[in-house]
Amino acid sequence: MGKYSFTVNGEGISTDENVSLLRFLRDELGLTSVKDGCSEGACGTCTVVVDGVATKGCVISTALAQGKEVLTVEGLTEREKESFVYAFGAVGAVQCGFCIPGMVMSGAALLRSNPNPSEDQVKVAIRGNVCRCTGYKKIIEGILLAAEILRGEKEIDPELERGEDYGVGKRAFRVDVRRKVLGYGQYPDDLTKDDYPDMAYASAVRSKHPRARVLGIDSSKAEALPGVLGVLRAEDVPVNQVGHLIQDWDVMIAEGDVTRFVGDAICLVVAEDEKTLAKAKKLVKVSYEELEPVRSIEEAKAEGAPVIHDSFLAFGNVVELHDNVCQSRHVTRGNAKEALASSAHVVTKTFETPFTEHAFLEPECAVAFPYKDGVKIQSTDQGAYDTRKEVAHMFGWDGTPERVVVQTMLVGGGFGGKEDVSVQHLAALAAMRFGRTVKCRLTRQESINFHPKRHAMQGTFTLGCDEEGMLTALDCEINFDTGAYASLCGPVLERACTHSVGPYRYQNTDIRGYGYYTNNPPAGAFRGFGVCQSQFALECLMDLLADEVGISPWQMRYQNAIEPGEALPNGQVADCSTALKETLLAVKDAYDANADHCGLACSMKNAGVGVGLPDAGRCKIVVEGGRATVYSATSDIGQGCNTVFLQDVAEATGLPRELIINGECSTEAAPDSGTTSGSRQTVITGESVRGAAFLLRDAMTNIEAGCPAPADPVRATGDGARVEYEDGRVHDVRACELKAGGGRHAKDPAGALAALEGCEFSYVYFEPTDKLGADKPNPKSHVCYGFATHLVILDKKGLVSQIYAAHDSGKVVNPIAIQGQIEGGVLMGMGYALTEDFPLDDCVPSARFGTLGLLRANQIPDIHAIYVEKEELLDVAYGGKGIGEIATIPTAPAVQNAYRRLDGRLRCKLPLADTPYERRSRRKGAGA
Amino acid sequence: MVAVVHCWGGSSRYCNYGCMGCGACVLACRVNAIELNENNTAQVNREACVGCGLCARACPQDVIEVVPREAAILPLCSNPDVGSLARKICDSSCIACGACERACPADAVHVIDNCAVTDVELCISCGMCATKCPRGVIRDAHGILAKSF
Repeated sequence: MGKYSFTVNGEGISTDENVSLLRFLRDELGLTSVKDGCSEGACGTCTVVVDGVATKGCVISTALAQGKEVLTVEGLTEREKESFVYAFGAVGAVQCGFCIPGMVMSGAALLRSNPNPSEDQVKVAIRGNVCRCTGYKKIIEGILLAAEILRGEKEIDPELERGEDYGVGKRAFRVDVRRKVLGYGQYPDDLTKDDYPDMAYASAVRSKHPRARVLGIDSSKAEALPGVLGVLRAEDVPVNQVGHLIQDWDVMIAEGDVTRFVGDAICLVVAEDEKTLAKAKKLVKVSYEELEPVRSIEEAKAEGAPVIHDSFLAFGNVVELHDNVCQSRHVTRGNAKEALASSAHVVTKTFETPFTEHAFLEPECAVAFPYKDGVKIQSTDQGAYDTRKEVAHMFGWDGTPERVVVQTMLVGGGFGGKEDVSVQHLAALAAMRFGRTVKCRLTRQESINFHPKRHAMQGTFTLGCDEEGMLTALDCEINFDTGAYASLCGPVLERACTHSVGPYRYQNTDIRGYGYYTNNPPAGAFRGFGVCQSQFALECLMDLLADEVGISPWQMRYQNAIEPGEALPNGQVADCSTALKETLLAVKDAYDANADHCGLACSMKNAGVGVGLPDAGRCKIVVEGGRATVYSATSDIGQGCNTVFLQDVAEATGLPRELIINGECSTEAAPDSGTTSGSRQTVITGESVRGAAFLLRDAMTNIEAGCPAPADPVRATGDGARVEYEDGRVHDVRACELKAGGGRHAKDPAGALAALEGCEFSYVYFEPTDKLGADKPNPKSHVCYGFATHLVILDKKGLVSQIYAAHDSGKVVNPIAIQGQIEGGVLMGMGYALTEDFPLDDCVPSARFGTLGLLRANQIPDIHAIYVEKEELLDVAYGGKGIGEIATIPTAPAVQNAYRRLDGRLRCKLPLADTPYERRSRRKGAGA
Repeated sequence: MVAVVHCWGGSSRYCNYGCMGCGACVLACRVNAIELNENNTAQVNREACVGCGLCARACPQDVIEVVPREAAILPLCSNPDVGSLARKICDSSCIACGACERACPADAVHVIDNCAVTDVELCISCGMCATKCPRGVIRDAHGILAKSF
């Protein structure tokens, strides 16, 4: 018997080791449902039940567990398991899934002691569990539904999970619910020595200072430690540079070079086990010459400021830099200056927004091992092919990127923060060097310090309108702090500029955008992609103008709102599906009833990368083992695109859910369908899936007509209107088939599919767009836009009590999923408005996961997710438009407008000051 | 809501700031949910307490607070003396070492005037502070992560 004895899921356990229960359950017992989200007690992903009380596994140790009964998801009764799986799937509580086992355990502990809890009691029970995807509402509904089932008041409907009726627009039970609720789905960190007995562990020693010259790296003591495989440095990296679009990011900082932020890797320690790794990292001595950092945009602009990068590599060209301007954009149309000069009303204000941390629940992790003539990486990222490209560049394999194989595992949230490589390249480097399987994982604090944030913005906006309140022109300058590395500065800045105009119809704009390098953590993609910042400014000005004109904010927006057939301020003609006015009408009653204590904001967001880039969706359907297997390298980061694709196939072919399955998402098995970014998967990849599914459907009907199965793979391309087969045949798809419910199917889809075993159907969807500044009267920047109106209502105490979020996202593919997407986006926007901040102390992040200001379950308002569906829809992807990003954009300005309506004060800075949500400092000497 | 006494009443105690065992709270309580324990210190019966706050108002030492029931991890000391002195006068005293403050992921517990104080609005009851407290001042109502109260 060991020193500490306790039971886990009813089984007696004994150990001499005093470690956190989280580590013991994962490492010794292999219970991977217990997730490691922070190991600080803040996130709740490791929640287990100890003697009936929901307890964080990282807080309790094996010593404290002495004599106690520990319960994990694996140890719930079958009835509890089935109830939670069904309840969470039926209400749509599962998105990325990383928080879910912890939520289930908090829920289960509550229901065991109180089988009939109130909604408030559920909120309190899960207030220690952070969810970044759902906005909690669906999880609360899920726990209440599980309670009803366990009380015997409701029944599990097995039909829903089987998915007989799985087409577009149907309530689809997500494909990943069961494995996420029961915790057996694998995120990269769930790959262990059981999967790879030769697994070693790597972690980087990172810079102590944001800007310092590395004088020396002494790793001799670390290398001498038994169990250490080696310490890799900059000179061990074939090409010491990565970067998503612009290559400017040193894999490691070499001796003699200067660090650019505190996340910079100095060297990479590789060891047999994690304990040795931690010990070895402490033995590495790095000496620095500290240099004055560049802390802000002002300092970056200042005369004589140190130039952080003297060059970078962009699309194969070396670009020399002489100042700290990383990227700039100038978007103009009409004549803003003249139009403003002759406008009846003009307002100018300067706005400031902070960096924002994505706070996805799963910290970055990758497992890599030598594979064929290169390396295979199992990672959590937003685009397997992007990761492949960056890693191949590091190895000097730009010409043979296929030597790197990237497989995307389950992704525990991304929100844009997993577009750049973080650990994938480090794991691959170590795997190639030592010929071993290597896991590289960031701690929560490393993750917070390292990965690119939402850009902090300072912007001055001037908006004008005529006497009736019709908008005339916008002039603005947007300054972004892009931190130490470019990441996606260019495209994010561009979207901030192109979307700063809002979803209105006026034709005079002069928009200047600049992204500055500083020594702060880098900034890059984040849900909203620059638009959260610029729309905050514009929508606040809309209310100011409405007051000057003397009309209501609702009327101001309604009369300027874009309608189908009209030109947006960028010149693009709004398509037939445009339903901004409908979203405004959807909140009108609630607005009228609360006019003196509510705030409105509208916004638009592109779906698809657009702007002339080769943004294609690719899908290959292979009939394998009697099932249509959908291969498309896309990351389902929680938004549910894997489910959407199966719904597209079900709709196009008439097949039931059980005969359709997602294939492996890897660069080896699946075609490149681009990054999960720009709200593009439902539309761009969705259309390619439908295209491939139509090819399969045609083969199925041909079989029934007596034709043989196609001997060769069937391949076709399409631009949304015409389909061109590989053999040159061209045809237009019949319009009625482009709407859900309008397709023709084989009489016996299952039987026809069985006759097509081994057949392959590939489709590429590429709809060209015009590049920024194209010389056309009405350039088409994006395949489509989503539109939204949010209405925020305050209560008497000044708390946000209700948020109406009305969305035009085209055809709703999965009504279960879209609500959670909207609610989660809205809550993220509310956090951005009121509580979330990313304080920096001389360029060093001072926030921890628990102090980022993430809203918890007991702080949520009542969110009403409304979707307006028009009769007239786009022809691509059954009319679906992305919902991913836009759900989070209008909330922050709507919150500001609500407080301004209440107290008359314009707050130009986020998070908003002087609200009941403002964090009071309880520190000594701070007026505690 | 539930009442909590911010003093555990160490067995040897010469403290002027904690519970004096006067019994005013016991007299004030209408549901017999508070009594004096073997250390002559007020102790709340959490099952019986209804969180009305009569005891808190009656307490001449101002060491009773009414908190949400879910605030189950709390420091139970009210002594503002510097650590070296506080250590001497009671074996269950906060010595203002700050271990709780450093461990707290939510920035909810702070040493204010030499004594740990939890902001129950910010606290998520993870218990990290309780596992780090060297004096056993921070207790867990459920008795899982530290001794119960």
